[in-house]
Amino acid sequence: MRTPRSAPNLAISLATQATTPIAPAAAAGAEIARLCFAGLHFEFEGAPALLEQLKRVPCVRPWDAGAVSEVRGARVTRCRVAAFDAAEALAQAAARSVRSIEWSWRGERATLLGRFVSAELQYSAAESRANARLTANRRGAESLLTALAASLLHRLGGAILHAASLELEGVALALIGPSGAGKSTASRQLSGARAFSVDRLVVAPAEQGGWLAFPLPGGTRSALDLPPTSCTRAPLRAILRVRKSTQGTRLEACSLPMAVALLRESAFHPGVDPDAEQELLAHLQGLAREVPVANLHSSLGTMLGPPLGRWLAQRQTKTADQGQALP
Amino acid sequence: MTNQTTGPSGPVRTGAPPSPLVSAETRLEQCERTACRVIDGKAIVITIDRNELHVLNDVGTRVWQLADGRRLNEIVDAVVQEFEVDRERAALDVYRFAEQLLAVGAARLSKGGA
Repeated sequence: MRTPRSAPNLAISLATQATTPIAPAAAAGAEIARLCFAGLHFEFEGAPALLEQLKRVPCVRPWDAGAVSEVRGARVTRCRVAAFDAAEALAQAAARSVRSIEWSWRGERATLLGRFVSAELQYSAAESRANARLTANRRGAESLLTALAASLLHRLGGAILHAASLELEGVALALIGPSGAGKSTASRQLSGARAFSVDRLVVAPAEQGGWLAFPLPGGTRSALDLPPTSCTRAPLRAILRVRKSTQGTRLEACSLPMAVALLRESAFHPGVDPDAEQELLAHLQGLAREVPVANLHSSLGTMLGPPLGRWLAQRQTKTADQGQALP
Repeated sequence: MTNQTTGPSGPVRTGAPPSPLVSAETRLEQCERTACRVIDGKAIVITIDRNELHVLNDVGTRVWQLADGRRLNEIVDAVVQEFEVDRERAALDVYRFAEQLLAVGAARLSKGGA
């Protein structure tokens, strides 16, 4: 089993594929944009118009110099961007029918495939320097950031989940399950909860221990019918696989293997690389060991907050496969 | 995505017909296009191309681990040694489980030796 952790101090330099002219690295007028996305800190160098596209991506937040190591092992990622408007990229992306973001690492090389972006990254851990070739279309800014974050987080031990998530008293609660599982219904059963993310959630091991959650673009927070939170990151407190129930609301803790299976079911998969799958499973096992995962059998008309709080407080003393009926 | 394959530990199925696809001399091996992680004695097996996930029980996990091109009768021998099960039932269950692994694309028949 390959080690899931990368060497710290990643540095990525990004340039476009030769489908469009690549601007010189130190082109006149190039600027630096520092921003945070998915818990990672980026320094992008490029034309102001391109940097503006990056800044407008949802869930991008201002540079937080005091928290550059909030994701374990992460440092500032330096990227060079020349253009997002590659004429051939749209046709390529459509032809590939990429379902989500796919990536694979082979030693110091990574290949990324997103819906609107593809890139090849290469970095030297010894030199803490990397280069990449990028193809993206007009919608490439969001896809580029997401693909970069996904691949880097994969190296750093994190993952991206298909999850609705809530912020409740400063911590994040992830609700996973397919469409129609009852995530929105369950979210309304938590008094005081606010919408954190609707569709995609970054989970990453925190520099200070535990796991952090970061929202990603996708969906609209109004879909949860909850007021949005102002939090852009929060400690991840629990992950609940929501299931509709007509027999009362109850929480059922998962065994570790089943928890990993449920997380994998909800995780962005790395595509076609068995080694990347192995690494993702290792990451999810680490997540399931530190963050409680449970099946939530949810019935209408039941408030979830108080019993959930009690369950979380008591879980330290519960065996992994013991179910607990809620009052 | 989750598709649980329990593995050969179900109830005794006496009188069941012999497997038409596999036999004691069948050699079984894991497909290369799979990923697996054993957690608390249970294997999580992902078939990459089908994007399916299977959680195996203890016996299924052992059979999976032994599926390296060796014959099924050798796998049955190991199961009989390591678990409290008589050979007849172990053989029947291992054959059926091998068929399940073949059906979901997690394993394939091997012509070579282990």
